[in-house]
Amino acid sequence: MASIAAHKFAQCITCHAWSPDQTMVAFCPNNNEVHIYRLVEDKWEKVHVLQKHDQIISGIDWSARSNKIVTVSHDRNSYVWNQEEAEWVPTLVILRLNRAALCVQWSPKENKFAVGSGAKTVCICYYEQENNWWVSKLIRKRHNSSVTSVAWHPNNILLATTSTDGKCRVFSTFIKGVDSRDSGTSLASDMKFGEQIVQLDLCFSWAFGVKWSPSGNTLAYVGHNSMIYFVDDVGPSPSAQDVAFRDLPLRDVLFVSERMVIGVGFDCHPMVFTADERGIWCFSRFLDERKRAPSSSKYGSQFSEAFGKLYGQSKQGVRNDAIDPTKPGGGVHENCITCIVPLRKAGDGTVTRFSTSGLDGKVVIWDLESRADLSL
Amino acid sequence: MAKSSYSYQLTHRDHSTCKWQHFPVFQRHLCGPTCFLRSVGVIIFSKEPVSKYKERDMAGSEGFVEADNTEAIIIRIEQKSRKIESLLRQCKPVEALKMALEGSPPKTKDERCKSANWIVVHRAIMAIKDVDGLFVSLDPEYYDILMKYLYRGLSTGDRPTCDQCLRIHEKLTEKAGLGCILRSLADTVNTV
Repeated sequence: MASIAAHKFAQCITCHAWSPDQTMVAFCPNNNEVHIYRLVEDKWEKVHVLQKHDQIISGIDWSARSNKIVTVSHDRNSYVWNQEEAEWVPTLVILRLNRAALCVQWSPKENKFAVGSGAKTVCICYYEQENNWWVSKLIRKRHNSSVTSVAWHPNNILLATTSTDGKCRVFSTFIKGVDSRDSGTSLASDMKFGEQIVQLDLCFSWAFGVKWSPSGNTLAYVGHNSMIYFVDDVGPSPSAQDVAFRDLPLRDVLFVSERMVIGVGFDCHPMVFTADERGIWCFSRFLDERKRAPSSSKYGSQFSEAFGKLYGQSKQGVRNDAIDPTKPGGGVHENCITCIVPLRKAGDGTVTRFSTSGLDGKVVIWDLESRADLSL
Repeated sequence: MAKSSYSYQLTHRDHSTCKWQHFPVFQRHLCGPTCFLRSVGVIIFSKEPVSKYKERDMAGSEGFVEADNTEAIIIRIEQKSRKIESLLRQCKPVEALKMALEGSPPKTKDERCKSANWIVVHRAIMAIKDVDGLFVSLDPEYYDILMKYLYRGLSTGDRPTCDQCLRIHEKLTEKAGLGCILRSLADTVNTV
């Protein structure tokens, strides 16, 4: 089985993040607090409660190197939390929003973070040494609706966003004095702050959950129409693929390698998408046990070959879906999964472990190495 | 050709002047009671005010481009309709349905094109007798669009149409999953 640990922390979890050494988890139990738990002798122990926001916290990110937590909330504010001795000390970041903040992510170099909001704007925040202050710069007038997800390109300059207007956009976030010209790729080096590099108009419904592949060559995002989109060569002439699948829509995605993506969402079962050697993406299988047997076995055998191409019911997929006897009738999650976070080993680029959280209040850790059939 | 010259001819009682008689399918329907037209969704014609088209004609050249385009689509649907009739005569209902779904929906906002295409698809859907057999030979790429037309069929409220659509809907959901329903509901651009 691919899930190695599951714990129900609360009634519902809006988002979660892991400490750099992955011994502590921070999550929002669907209120205005962040709870931090530590695993002590196989038991989760509450070690901190961060109270400063007034409304539901919609995004948490814990920086790997600088050990800072950034939180955003529906109260339109953001806090950067610094650990000083035993206490977490908040610093208010004024985002200058008139609607809720919805998502947040640290940039790879951790000198900036991006906030998506319901105000149709994206805030790029950076630290100003002389003022001892986090400054928020806004990308305005590009999104026609709420920004549901943000993702940083590994070059620390490009930012991908998804929005409920159905579009995925890529921006330059070059900030003078924070980024140096040589840090970016050739694509990003001449771009001014807020310049839109590409707008991907593939989806006809809400778009969620955008991520870059580890190299930054491929972009994946999901639509609320049970589709996942893969975009190669992001730039003036991107090439796109869309993959339809037979189950409920996804909310978030994660690249575990250049060729494998995990998608989580309303279906409660994480899905695996893989690319073949030609770079053609398709649904491969469910990560956990199959929730139901194929309903019509009568035509299944004749059909599965062609069917699998589009809907992922290939023979191989069915065979691998071993039913776990300990959990009859379902997977680990019992409700919509809203968040998937990688668990990176220090100095290792590949992701073999990751965690998911959702509306059922569980945080589940998954390990790909424990599955021979999913080795990278 | 100016658009106004063939607007709303579907509501004409005199079929000899009606352009739509070119449809083999139509000939039969039009000669029957108008309630049948309503049952297959043609009611939508009378809902759209004529003035809307007049306005677009006055808008200038752009309106005429649209008119030419509409004309081309109508001709294409006519040809498709003839092919479907011949396939049905050869007792190949699945081939007929594939043919009907091919190039559907017509990429236009024009309600006449959509309704004309729907009537063709409806003809093919109603000809399906063996629903299980249908999914043995219908390729998955047709699933999403078939689902959209099934919902259009259900929206007519016509008893035999709804019965048939529900029968196919059950099997299609089994095959293509909830994702297929979501795609057909979420796609607000390619309306059928």
